[in-house]
Amino acid sequence: MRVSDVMTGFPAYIRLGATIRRAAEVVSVSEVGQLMVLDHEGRFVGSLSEEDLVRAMLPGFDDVTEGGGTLADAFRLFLERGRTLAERVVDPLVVRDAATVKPTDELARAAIVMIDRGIRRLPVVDDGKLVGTLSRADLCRAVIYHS
Amino acid sequence: MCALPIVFGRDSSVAAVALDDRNISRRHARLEITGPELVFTDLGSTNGSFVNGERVTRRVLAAADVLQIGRYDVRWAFVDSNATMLFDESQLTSVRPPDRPEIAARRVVLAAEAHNRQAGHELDGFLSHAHGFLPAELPLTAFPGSHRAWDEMTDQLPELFRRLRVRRAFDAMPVLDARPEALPDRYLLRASTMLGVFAHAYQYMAIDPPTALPDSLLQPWTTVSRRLGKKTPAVSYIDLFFYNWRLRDPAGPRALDNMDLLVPTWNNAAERVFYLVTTEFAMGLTPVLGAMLDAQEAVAADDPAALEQALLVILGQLQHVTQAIYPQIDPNPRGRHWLDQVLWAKTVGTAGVPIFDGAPSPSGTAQPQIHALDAFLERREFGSVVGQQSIYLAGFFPRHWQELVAALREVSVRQYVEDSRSSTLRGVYNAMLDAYVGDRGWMGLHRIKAYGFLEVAFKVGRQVTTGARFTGLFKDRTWDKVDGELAVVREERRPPVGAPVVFGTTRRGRVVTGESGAWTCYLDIDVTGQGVHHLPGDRVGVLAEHEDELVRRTVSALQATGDELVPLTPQWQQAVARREGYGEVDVLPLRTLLRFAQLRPIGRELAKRLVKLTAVGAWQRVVDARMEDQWELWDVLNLLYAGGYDVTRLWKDGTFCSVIPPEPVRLYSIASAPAPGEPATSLRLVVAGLDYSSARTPWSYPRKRQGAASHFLRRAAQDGQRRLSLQIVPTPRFRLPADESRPVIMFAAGSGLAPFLSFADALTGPGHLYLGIRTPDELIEHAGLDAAAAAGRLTLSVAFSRADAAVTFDGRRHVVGAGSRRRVDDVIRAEADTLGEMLQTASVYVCGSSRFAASVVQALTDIVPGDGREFIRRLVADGRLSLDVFTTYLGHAQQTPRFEISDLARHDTAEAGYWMAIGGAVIDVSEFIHRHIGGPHIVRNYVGMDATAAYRKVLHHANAEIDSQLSMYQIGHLRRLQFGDRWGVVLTEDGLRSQPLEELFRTWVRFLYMLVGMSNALTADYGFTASASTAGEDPGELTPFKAQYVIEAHRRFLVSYLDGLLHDDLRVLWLHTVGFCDPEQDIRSFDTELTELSARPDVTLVRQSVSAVKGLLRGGNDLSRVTSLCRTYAYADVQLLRDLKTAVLQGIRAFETHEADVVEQAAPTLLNVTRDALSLVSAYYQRLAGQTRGQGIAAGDGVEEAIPPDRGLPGHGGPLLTS
Repeated sequence: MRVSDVMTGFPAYIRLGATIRRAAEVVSVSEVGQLMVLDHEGRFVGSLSEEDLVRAMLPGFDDVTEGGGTLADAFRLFLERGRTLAERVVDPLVVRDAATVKPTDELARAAIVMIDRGIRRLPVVDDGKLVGTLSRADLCRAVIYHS
Repeated sequence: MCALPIVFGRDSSVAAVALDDRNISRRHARLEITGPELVFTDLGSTNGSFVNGERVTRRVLAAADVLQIGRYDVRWAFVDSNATMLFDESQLTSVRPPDRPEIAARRVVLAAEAHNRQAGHELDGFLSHAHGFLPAELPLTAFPGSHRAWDEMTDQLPELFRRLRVRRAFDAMPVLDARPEALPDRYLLRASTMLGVFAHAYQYMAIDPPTALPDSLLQPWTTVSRRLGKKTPAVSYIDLFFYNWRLRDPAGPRALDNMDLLVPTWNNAAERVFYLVTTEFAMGLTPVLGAMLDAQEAVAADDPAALEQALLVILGQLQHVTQAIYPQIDPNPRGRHWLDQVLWAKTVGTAGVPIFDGAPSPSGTAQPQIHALDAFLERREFGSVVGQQSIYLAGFFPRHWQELVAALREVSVRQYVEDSRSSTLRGVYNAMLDAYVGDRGWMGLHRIKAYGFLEVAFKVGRQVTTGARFTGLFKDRTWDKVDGELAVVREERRPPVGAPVVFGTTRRGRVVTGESGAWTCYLDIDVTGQGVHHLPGDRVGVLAEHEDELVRRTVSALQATGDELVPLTPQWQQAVARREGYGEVDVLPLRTLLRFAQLRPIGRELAKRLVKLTAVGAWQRVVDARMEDQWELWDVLNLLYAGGYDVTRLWKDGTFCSVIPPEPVRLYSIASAPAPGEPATSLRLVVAGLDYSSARTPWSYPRKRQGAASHFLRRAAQDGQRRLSLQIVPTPRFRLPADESRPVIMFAAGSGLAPFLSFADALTGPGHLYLGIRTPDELIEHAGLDAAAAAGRLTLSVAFSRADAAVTFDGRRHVVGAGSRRRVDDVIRAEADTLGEMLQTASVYVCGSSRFAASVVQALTDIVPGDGREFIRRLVADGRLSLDVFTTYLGHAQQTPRFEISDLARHDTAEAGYWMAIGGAVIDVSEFIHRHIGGPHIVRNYVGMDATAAYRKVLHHANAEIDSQLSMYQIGHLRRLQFGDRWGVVLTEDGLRSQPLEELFRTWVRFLYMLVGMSNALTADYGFTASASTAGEDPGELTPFKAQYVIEAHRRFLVSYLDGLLHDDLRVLWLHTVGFCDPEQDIRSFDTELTELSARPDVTLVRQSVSAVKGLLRGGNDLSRVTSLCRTYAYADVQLLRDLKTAVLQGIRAFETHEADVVEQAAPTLLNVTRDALSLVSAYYQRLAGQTRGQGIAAGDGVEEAIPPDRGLPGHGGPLLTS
């Protein structure tokens, strides 16, 4: 079975230069944990995970000590950083050397790289162009449910 | 040695005797027996074969015919592999057949002897057949009158040290001329030893080094060193050991009891014992030199019988020096030659560290015997730090030694032994190797002993070894790094030979089953021709194989067929290589693998590994309850499968071998003894059957279980003719007394009789054997016991615990008659008078279960007049009480009392008793601390805390002799607290983290153990003030010499202990505790308080005053103030740690009381404790500052000394100089 047989053909994506607020909105609406990122010419450049969005809001040790010093302060800072980050662009958070698969790849090949590297959603890229994504759910549906 | 027929040739794959010469054909010639004749045949070689110089195609050989093949002369001899015997060692170096080819090493020794004789001195290196690497002439005891000033200084050193006046005295000594015209060659070695010792005394008298050596030392020392060919003045191994002794009675032996130091420094017990035993050790190795030459000549002459004899001499002598001479360095205060590790560390331990960077040190790696043995054994690797140092030091050897070491590399004994394919030679070679580098050999014992010394030494502030310098905080465990080095270097010494295995064949044995159903198996193992040499008391390790039924059951639990191929890990490859018929394999079928795997019972480590691997909750609960030993692998697998784990993954993904360990070697005492010096032809074993039921508990179910090894041996005894892989394990501390007239008293229970059967065979003097068994039908006839009794060498007393019977001797045999049931300890009490009398001189041996051993020792304690416990302690110190204890596993893991960590931590004083925890078991060491062979210090270091890591570090857990003794002192086990899945959020340097509550508890426990460990170390450190550090001193007096160490210990307490504790450990404890307990708490408050504390005038005063007090001491005019402050330090420092511990224990108890609910129930307690800790430290500084001011010392009188930079590991007190 090929990747193109089971992939999601209309992936959630944003473009470089979009704000983090926009990214959070897409995550929220699409209920997808991993957004694909395209450049201004529509070519695939990488991906952005909700995990990285959340991680960016967590304050470091020094942030906490400068911001009051208590755990309660740390929790408050978390929220504040969210507000501050919202207007920044996503570019620094984009993972650019993400693993990709081709639509013609064997499904098993994709499954292996996902399990080995802990990837939840793989970009499917054909000649630099994003043509879909492949999630673990897609795999389960195709290989187990429909078999 | 080879079995005929043999082929000579160049290609080792087709020729049994491979000869390295291009002129030799691949298959060149053959030697074979044809009828009654020995025939030599040329196999069509290109360059021909010759007999006595004549080219032949086929020739019947006569005795003494010499074969020539290429450039080789081949001599031959017939050997009957059974007809070997031990040589009289004294003859060995002189008895050589006259036609022996002379090997290079022999030529070096002969030339050295001739040279030294002719020169009239031994400046080019001591080397002779008679005295090995030691001087042939006794060291000189005086200089000519012109240099009397030096002689006179020696006797004064201890007193000068005591008063810290060494430097003043040498500053005032005249500068004497050491040039040849003033000081003849023959005095050079004495001058070198003496000036070296003086210079080091000058350097190391006080902790702070002097700016330079005075001319009175530096000038003559430099001159003498140059004359001896040394570029930089340095104390050598010769100076400190080989030329630093004199005989009390010049006609007497060169042995510890007849020797004194030539140039003592402190002349304390530690110095005498350490230096002189090292020297005697070297003397004891002298026969090894001769035997190495003999062995190489035997190889050159192709004389396997002579080679075997020479190897046996090396083996015997290595065992002698490691088992008789080395243990004279005795850390037991009741021992005859007590060496107090703390005293050693503060005086002798660092005395040899070179003064000048790059100079060679007199460290152990400078011993010429080691270099000679390394060369003889063809050590090739020197990559480790110690190995590098070793090569560096050998570069400073005198000429004769360098030449010898090089020459010894020219002949390969190992290659000869391999090529011979003789099991006898291999057996003896491996035994010799084991005696050198094995766990119980020289290097193994050295490592264990050194570890104890290093740990104690580093904990009392030693920062250098004679080989390397280390710095670091208390918790860095610097001594572990040094120990790691010793482990690496030991591996470098091991040549590439096979595993030390001998193969035996079982004869049909006999199984005796008693009324209770308990059985004992008596079997003999044929080891003819295996080169097995052992002594009465030794043990044999057996590699068991599992029976088909268990293997089948395990295969089925793994849901496999058994034919699956499983790749082996290196550990497994080594283990399989010990099995007969399996060479170097890297993959085995599952079924075969399971025969060799540890399938029962489940060990702790495997149990934890399975928890991690499978995450099956049911199994996790079993392991938490410490009940894994109620299980076997196959039923665990079933449980794991039921819990959702796919057991086939174990073999499908090839992890099997990294999870399941191979079956370990199981030890049995050998119940037979060969005639002295003869190889053993058979080994008798007495095997107690192990059958029991696992317990019915929430974590296990009742099922019949069998011991793996006992049932294997029973099957082997019933079948007969079964091949076994064996390993001889010497037990140096379970030996008949060297003094044959000394009475021998033996106590045995059940199969504990085994070693005493071998003793009975070997006994010459009066022996008394007390045997405890259940019923008469368990008693079988032992011809050896009857014979010994008939010869009047043995009396046997049997106590039947479940039958009214007794045993009498009718002149020929022991017979059972009427009597009453009793136990061995009843007999001891009944015979109190006669036994008590005998105990004054006897050697006592106990062999049986730990409970039996404990009951015998208790009964002996009760019957001796006076203080029984003290009597037993002395018995141990005299080496007159030997225990061979085994744990008969009965499935009782959970049935001991449970203790809390807070209970454990409270037992760290003599008043409260001493406890420690090892592998979760709680051990009461209050009495054992006086019996520990490694001395009390090392035990004392771990009381009140977990000692598992230290225990394992010295391999005590792998040594059944030692490990089983633990159970004699075990009083219970530590309770494991249940924290469920509670977790919290903590702020760390790496940001916000979630953390299990259990991890917070561990942080608390680590902190507690750290406090206990520091307090233990500090007790040893300040305990030094009560020792006699110099000859002729009142131990109660706080001499200036000892006072400087108190000041130094106090400085180290402030810098290394306290600062690390506050800035790292307490801070982490605070951060984590706050995270769990109070989100509103500002975590910065700890740092703020700490900064405020450090800025306080009290703190500044306390820390700066240290150097001021040191100054007072050096000035020497106001000692009463110094002494008074020293007492204050010793008290206040220990007290602070105690107070901190009391505070932390409140927190620990909160965890123990509330477990998972500790945060909800006791958060304020935990937070308060961390705050209290800082106030305690603050109060400490305040108290100490008051006392310091009271002695009239103000801040600004001194400065706080910086920690010197770490100079790294490589050199000799300084960096290695390489040109």
